[in-house]
Amino acid sequence: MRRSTRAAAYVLALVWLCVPLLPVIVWAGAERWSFPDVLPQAWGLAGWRDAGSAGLPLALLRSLGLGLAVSAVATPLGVMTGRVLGWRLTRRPIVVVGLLLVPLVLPPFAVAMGLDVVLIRIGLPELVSVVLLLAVVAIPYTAYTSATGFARTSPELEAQARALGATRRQARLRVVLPAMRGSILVAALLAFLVGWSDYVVTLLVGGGQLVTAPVLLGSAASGSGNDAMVAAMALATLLPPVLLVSAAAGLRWREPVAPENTVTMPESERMR
Amino acid sequence: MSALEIRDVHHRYADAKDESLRGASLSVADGEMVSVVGPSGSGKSTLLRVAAGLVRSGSGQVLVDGRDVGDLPTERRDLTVMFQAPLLFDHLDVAGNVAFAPRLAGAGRREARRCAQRYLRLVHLEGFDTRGVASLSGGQQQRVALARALAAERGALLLDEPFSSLDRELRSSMHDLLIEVRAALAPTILLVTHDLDEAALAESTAVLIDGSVHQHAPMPEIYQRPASVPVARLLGGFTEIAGTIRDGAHHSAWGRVPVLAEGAGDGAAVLLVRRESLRLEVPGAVAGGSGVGARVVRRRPTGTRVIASLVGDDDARMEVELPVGDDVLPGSRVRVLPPDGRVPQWSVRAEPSGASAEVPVPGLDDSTHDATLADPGGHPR
Repeated sequence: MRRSTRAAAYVLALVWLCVPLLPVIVWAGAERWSFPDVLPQAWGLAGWRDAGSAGLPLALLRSLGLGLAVSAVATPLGVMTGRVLGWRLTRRPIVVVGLLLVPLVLPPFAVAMGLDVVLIRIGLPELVSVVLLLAVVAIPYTAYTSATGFARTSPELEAQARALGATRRQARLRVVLPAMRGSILVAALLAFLVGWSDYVVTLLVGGGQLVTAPVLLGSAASGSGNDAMVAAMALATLLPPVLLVSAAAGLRWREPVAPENTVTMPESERMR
Repeated sequence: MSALEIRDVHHRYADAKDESLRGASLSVADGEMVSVVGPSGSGKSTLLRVAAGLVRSGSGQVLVDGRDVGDLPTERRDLTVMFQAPLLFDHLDVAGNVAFAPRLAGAGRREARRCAQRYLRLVHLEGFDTRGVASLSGGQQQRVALARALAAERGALLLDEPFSSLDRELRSSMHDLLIEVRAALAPTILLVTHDLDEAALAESTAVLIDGSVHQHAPMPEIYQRPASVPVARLLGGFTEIAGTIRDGAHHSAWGRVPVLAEGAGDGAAVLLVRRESLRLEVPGAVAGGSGVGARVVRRRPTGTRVIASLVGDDDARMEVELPVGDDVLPGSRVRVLPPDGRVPQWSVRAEPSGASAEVPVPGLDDSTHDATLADPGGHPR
């Protein structure tokens, strides 16, 4: 692609992402903005103050905790599933893929309601139920991201580490996981985003008790009529994941290219 | 260093019809290097993986210094492996890779890196300690992999076609390096390779065909006296002449050729003649001479000489390496003369029909011509 074409593509992508945000950004800094003026009549931080009073900091903390918890559950499970798929360690990968796709194919509302009943009957606390349900939604993302990473990584790495004296566990922790760090980082990030941005499951299963940033934002947007506050909440909810994604992209950009990661799967390791 | 012995190992991959190893046995003395050669799919790498514990054998034993390690996991077998790909750990720098095994063994970081430097010097990579492995060339990466394997300081080193991905020049320099390393450390080495020149670096070579060792001897001996027709085919350059041995000579359409007593005994036998010891003659040049009539089907120049592939009047296939300067045209009729009748030739027992191993006949890629092995009656089939 020519440099000018590439630059134009970047600008277009940026415009595509940023234009919808412009009114939100303007509203977040507006004290008063009424029709038909193009810009607010008065600028100020009233929206942010109102958002703070409505409990935004705590809601953000809850979202952070929920995102981290979902990531902590879904990432290891996804990495294990991804290893099975990426290194073709199962005779029936189609079954694994089918199970993974179920939460994505079914409407989230149906999944939440269906599993909610099961979890309530088991007697799990609401917070644990929310984390588990969101982990179910996140695992397909973490599994597929990991599977791609494993497919690019030679399974011989583990054998090599063991031949150098590492136990199976040491080989996985000291060699395979570091080799997979980029994919695992992306998988963890995706799981975090599922937890951070969820509305339906948190609201339905949490029973309104777990007020995360999206729940607070949804409630404010539907009933407050305070556009500046809603805009401030929207921006505050948006910024952490954007920063996280940027940081992760920066880390991956700096990763060296693996010297050998396209070695074919040895026959002995296949389809066991 | 340690002695390594593999005894009567059998192995079959899940879902495979046939065994990949059928009672394979070989031994490597302390400080010795043994190479394993064989056609693709003969079980070479499986044998090495069984020895390393990366693949579990159905039966048989793996002994390190006389101790059966068959039930031990790879990391406790006192062996290490170097694979075809360098498989360097890209989250560690060069010294970190080489120091991997010492660190696992409990050495401190500084001590392990000092140890790594010693081995990096041995492979001529001093000063590369802090380099990222992704920045190294293919040859340098294999040197690091070799240093890393040596730094593990195990009883035996198993090399699985370690230089086959390198180009000819780099491979040659790695061979020199291997000789240097052997002189310095005298490691016990089992080398799996498909490169016969590389195999010749070892004191002895085991020829593995269809999962069993057909011959284990120094490479010159294997070339001079291949134990079977499949071994001769693997080496290439032999013309197989079916016939019968009696009275210390091989009798066939080629006439009477004296044979070495150590070869096949009386009965159906295949005479294995090196292509460079056969001669070509234009028919009629020597009236009533010995040898067989044949048609040239292909000529293949190799440097200063030409190798002619021929089909005899009895449909037998043969190869003749012509003297420097001689040439022959495909399609022409010639007479192939046997070697000097005073020098005894090498012969092997003719294998029963259907018992021959799957090694393609070298020299001809014309699929209409099947491998020519003698049946018990001494007739080509």
